[in-house]
Amino acid sequence: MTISDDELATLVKEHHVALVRLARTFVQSQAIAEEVAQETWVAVIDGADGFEGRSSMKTWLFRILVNRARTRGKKEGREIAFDITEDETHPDEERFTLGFWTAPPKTWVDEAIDAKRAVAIVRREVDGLPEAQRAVVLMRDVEGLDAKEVCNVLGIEETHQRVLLHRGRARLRSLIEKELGK
Amino acid sequence: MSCRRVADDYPESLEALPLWRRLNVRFHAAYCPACKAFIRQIDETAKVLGESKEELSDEESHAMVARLRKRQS
Repeated sequence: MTISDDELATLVKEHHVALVRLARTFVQSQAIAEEVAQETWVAVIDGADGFEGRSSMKTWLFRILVNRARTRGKKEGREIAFDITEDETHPDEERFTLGFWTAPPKTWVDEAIDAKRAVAIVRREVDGLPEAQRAVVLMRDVEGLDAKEVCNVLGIEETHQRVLLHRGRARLRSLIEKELGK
Repeated sequence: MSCRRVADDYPESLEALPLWRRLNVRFHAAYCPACKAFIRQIDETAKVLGESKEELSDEESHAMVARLRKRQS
């Protein structure tokens, strides 16, 4: 399969920002993340023939990026653990007493959120999540990959994926609540 | 079931949980307004994340394709 300029431009338009953000999880600077994303596109152009359609194009793309970013990160002495740390506290830990809410979640305005403000908050805060949570949240919720695809790209167990996603969302929920309460 | 357990157990979707835990969460959330709000806000957070996706413009993506083709050749 040869990829045309228009097909490539569509993929680049849709996924380049996400690739850079995901690469940033594994490498130490924005410049290196941009470089890894561009290397990924070159690999896609060179290897489009190798795409066998067993996974979606998007999964294939993200797998190439993660492999490259991981290799680059290792050279920099950065290695991201996708293990689940049991001692990580819930972001709302202090709001429970004997297992029940003592400071329950504040209602968001009109039971819904001020969408523009919330989008601005999550764009800013996702990059501050612990790396493993950030990688899973970016692929699942921002890019729309399903659980199996994310496990496939990152080489992690389904249970780990679910816990990382939930912890990431719970942290972000808590941050949105704080911000909207200001 | 405690609220803390609901906050821990409410993952990407209830469907991923075993039936008994799913029913426990649903039963608890039906009478606990705080957990109901928590669950709704987690779902809203996922929705907002989906809306936060950023893309390059057409011009930027075509310029990048030109750079990539040049780099490839």
